[in-house]
Amino acid sequence: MTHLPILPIVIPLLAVPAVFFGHRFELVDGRKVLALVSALGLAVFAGLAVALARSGTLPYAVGGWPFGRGILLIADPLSLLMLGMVQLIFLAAVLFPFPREPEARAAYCTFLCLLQAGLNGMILTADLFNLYVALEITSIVSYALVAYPKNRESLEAGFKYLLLGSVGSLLILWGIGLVYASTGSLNLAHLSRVFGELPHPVRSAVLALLFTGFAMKFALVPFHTWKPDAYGSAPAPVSAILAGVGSKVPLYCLLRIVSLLFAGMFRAGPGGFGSLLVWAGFASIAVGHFMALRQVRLGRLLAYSSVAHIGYIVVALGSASADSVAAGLFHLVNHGILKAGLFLLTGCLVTLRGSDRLDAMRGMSRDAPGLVALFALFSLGMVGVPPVNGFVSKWAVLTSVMRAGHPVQAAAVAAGGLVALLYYARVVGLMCLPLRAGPTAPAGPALQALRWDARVSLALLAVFCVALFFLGGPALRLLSGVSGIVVAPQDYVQAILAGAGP
Amino acid sequence: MTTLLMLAALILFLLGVYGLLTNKHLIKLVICFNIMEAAVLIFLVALGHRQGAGVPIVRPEGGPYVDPLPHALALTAIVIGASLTAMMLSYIIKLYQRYRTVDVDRLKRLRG
Repeated sequence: MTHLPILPIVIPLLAVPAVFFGHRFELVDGRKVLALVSALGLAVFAGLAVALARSGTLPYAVGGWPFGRGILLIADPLSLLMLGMVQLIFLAAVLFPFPREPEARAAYCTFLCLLQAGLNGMILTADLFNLYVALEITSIVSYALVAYPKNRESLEAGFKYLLLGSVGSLLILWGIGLVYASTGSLNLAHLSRVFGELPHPVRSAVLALLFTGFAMKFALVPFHTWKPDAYGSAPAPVSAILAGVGSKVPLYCLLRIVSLLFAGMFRAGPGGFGSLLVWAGFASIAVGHFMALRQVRLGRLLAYSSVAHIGYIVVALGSASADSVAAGLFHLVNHGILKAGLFLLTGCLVTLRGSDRLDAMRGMSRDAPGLVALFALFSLGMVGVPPVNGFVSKWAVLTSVMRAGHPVQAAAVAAGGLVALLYYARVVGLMCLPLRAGPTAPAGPALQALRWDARVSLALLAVFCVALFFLGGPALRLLSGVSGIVVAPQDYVQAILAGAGP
Repeated sequence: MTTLLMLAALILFLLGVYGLLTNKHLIKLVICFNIMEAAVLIFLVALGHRQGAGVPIVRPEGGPYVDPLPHALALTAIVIGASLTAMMLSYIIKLYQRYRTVDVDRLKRLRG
């Protein structure tokens, strides 16, 4: 039996004491350990990709306990996709210079390590209870990271996020309890066999609890209110991680649960829950873009744009055809990379200007032409203009949602692009305007050369953006194989029920 | 018995939601969260209940025992809930040190 599936959880967890004590006693820079952890994660990702190419699914019984007794993990192409995303975004974010004074860094690095372990755990777990535990690790650490600057805004944002997120967790926990009450099992594969035979009211109650709980975690309208505060106030690398993968992994968990427990949704095409998802996504697109138009601070603008893009993904997943699920997953990847890049860039711009207000961004094209060019590139991706990856996935979402019979939502996807063009063009335009003359104008400080590691991280994300545009076709074909797993998860179920290893 | 407990859990949970939506006092918000958490815990504990069952330890005389798994779930949830409460209260202390208020309306700086 190969031990690959447990490594993404064990490596960051083992690194936690190394990071904390290493920093505390000034033995080693925590960032280096974090970068090493992410690089190892990418290596494990590659190893898993090779193993999965041979066997399709890779179940892993922790400690060798027999099926149904111990903790079960499972890696399949869908979880592999999310794993790759998490390691990539983490690598990009930890290559970035850290905020604030060094003595608080020990906590910061430790939290980042735990966050990575939690996210990987959420991706790999094969039962609902461990999903809840991993979700809580992830959430608690995110609350702490959002409030990390400890200024007024970040504390307020952190408290709001903490309260709403905890209520979401409670709903998820109740949903899980209800599942156990009605089936006597928490194993996802086993549940996929027995859950369909339960009476309709029970299934609806479980779905309502889990959907509301997870929607609070990935900020679907009307549960999005914490998001602009949290992303607008957190340190840039934290915003990049939370926007890039922190809000995508709960979405993945919901997708996995729906695919296994409510398989009828995908088999029967658009049904009750599908149309709920599609309309919730529609509301997210509308509210996200509308609110983004009115923002005067860059961080909040990007956060509202995130709300809208979560809407695109949810519309695509809710359309519940194999094509639209593939398109939604592709947009999930693309948006994660683009938004992480934008938040990291915002971090650079804010250190230059000391503020993330839009009017402080004037004259940026003179002070930092490279950063503005990159910002424009990522913005094009968010709007959905070639030659950036956002175009391919947005087009795929648009056409597949149209084909699935949701013309209103498809129109919203298209119109959303236009609105996004308005506000991103405003931001980039402001950066290109000359500084306002007068005593109030901030003196353009000399641009400190970006450190090499920050350059590497931005270049990495930019290369992925352009490459995924040119490789958009093959990527979509690859993802349609993954979406096949969502629509028909027999392999996943078989692999676990067949005995889950020795 | 189980039904009664579950009904109580539901009522408690709704009370908590109501309090969360209507209160403006930060510490009262935390208390409301705790009420909701207690409701979920009662639900989980009630799940394991079996009529006339003993503790879940294998004894020589046998006999039915309560389902231990929901109780393990509840224990984990208690630990998580305690840490969340501690975290909320520490944020409130920090917020009070900076704003000198625990009223949500006077605290709001982030809107729109």
